[in-house]
Amino acid sequence: MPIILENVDYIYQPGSPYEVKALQNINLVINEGEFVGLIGHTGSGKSTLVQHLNGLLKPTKGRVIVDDQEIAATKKTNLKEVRKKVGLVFQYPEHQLFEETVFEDIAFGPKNLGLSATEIKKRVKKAMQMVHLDYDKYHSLSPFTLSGGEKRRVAIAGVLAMEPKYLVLDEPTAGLDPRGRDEILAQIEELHNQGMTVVLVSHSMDDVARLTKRLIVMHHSAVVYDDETRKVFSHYESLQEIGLDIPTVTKLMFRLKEKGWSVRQDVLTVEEAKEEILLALKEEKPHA
Amino acid sequence: MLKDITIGQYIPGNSPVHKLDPRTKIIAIVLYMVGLFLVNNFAGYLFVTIFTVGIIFLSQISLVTILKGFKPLLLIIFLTLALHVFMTEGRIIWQWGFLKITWEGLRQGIFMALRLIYLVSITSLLTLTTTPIALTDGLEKVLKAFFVPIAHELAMMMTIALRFIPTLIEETEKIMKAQMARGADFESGGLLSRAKSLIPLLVPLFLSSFRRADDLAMAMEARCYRGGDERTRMKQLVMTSRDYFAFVIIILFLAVSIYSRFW
Repeated sequence: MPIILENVDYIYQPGSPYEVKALQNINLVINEGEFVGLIGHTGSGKSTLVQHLNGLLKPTKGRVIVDDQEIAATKKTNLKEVRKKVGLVFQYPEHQLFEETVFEDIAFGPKNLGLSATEIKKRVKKAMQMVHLDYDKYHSLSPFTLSGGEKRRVAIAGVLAMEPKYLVLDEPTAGLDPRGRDEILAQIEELHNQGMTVVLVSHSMDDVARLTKRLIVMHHSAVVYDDETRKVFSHYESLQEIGLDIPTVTKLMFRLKEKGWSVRQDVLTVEEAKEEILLALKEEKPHA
Repeated sequence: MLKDITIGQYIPGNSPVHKLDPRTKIIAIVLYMVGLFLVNNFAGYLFVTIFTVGIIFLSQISLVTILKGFKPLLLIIFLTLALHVFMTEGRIIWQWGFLKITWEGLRQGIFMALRLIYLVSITSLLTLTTTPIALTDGLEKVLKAFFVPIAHELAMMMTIALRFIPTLIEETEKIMKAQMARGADFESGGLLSRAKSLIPLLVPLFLSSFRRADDLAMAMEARCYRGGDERTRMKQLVMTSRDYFAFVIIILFLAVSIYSRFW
């Protein structure tokens, strides 16, 4: 069953001079098994939207339906049930670590679910394996002695240990070095391949292009594009107008086209670009 | 939820209160407090009420904003009221078992609650109408005028504290949400389990505060901050006729408050 957002509006501090409309008439369906990207520049409403997916924020107007649970302004919903289903990893999740050991910290979520000690241990082990942290080496260490990338993986494992059906990540790679970034992204991709539904909020067009099949673009509190990633990035100019970019390879193809090469522009990866350029080279030489 | 706390917030504006020199405002507040604690009868309180409402009206800050500042203090205000109402000896109006309300208690309780309310209104008006920088400058000058030795450091500490209240609130909310996403429950359970549930909130909060403090110290040193000696200001504070007029008014206020005791 999917996550459905119906005519969702959200207003911060309604009725005060600081009233901000953060979401405007959002209609979305996130189906099981999808890998959805969510982009938009700072303040476009991404983070607000993401917090609606697990009921941390309730819509001011409209409703959110997670599987069969409905979340609306006036409705009482079993939010614990929703949060069990939708795992949300915030920006800089390592800032939420607090326990004395890695094991205890990852066990925090499952403990809140009221699971038995053996089940908790099983889940912690599994979650650590999912983010490629060696259980024997790390479980008794203090999370504060770890490197930035390792801390983040512990934090993500903390969410995975709740065994969510949907995983929502808000810029999981922010502030990591290139290697840490690649590792995290590879693990997310792996999770998706194992059947998890993933929503990835990102600022990196390259990452989104490489990983996601569907892309949602937000601008001024509203969804402007919701389509296949490839199709969204073909709107180069309007994306630039709202302050967003397209993947580097796609930009290259646009430039080549401008120079008179006959290449396809809906290219997302380096491999595709290579094929396309070779094909164009075979066919014709540029005029200049 | 936590965003309702308005302590230390500044609301830009162009009212006569906004335009006053911060030194005037600080000294005026001290005089106001003296006046507020001097009045002791209905006539006096009526006068103070009119004066306070007048100032708030002049500042063009909406009453709602100021009322919101009371939210965290409601408990203290009610406690003050209740303690005075039930604990003061005197002419009994109403009695039920050991609980009794006296005429004197009622009067005292309402007066004390009003004092607290006015005190909070006017002091929050200070931060609502003064930019943090102007406030520090003013405070520093006032403290120096009274020969307080570490005036600059005190003023700087206060500004930083004020400046970081909204940041801390934001941070608290973020961490709360992150832990709630992991199934943490901050709202239900008994006192003990609630206190326990704060650990996942407080540990990350302390850590981030220390991190922030380090960063801030570094950033200040990188810009050659070396304390208050020989520091010059881009905006020099200047007293204008407006300020002298404000002093006249506040001294009149004080005079009337004293006089009201003899009515």
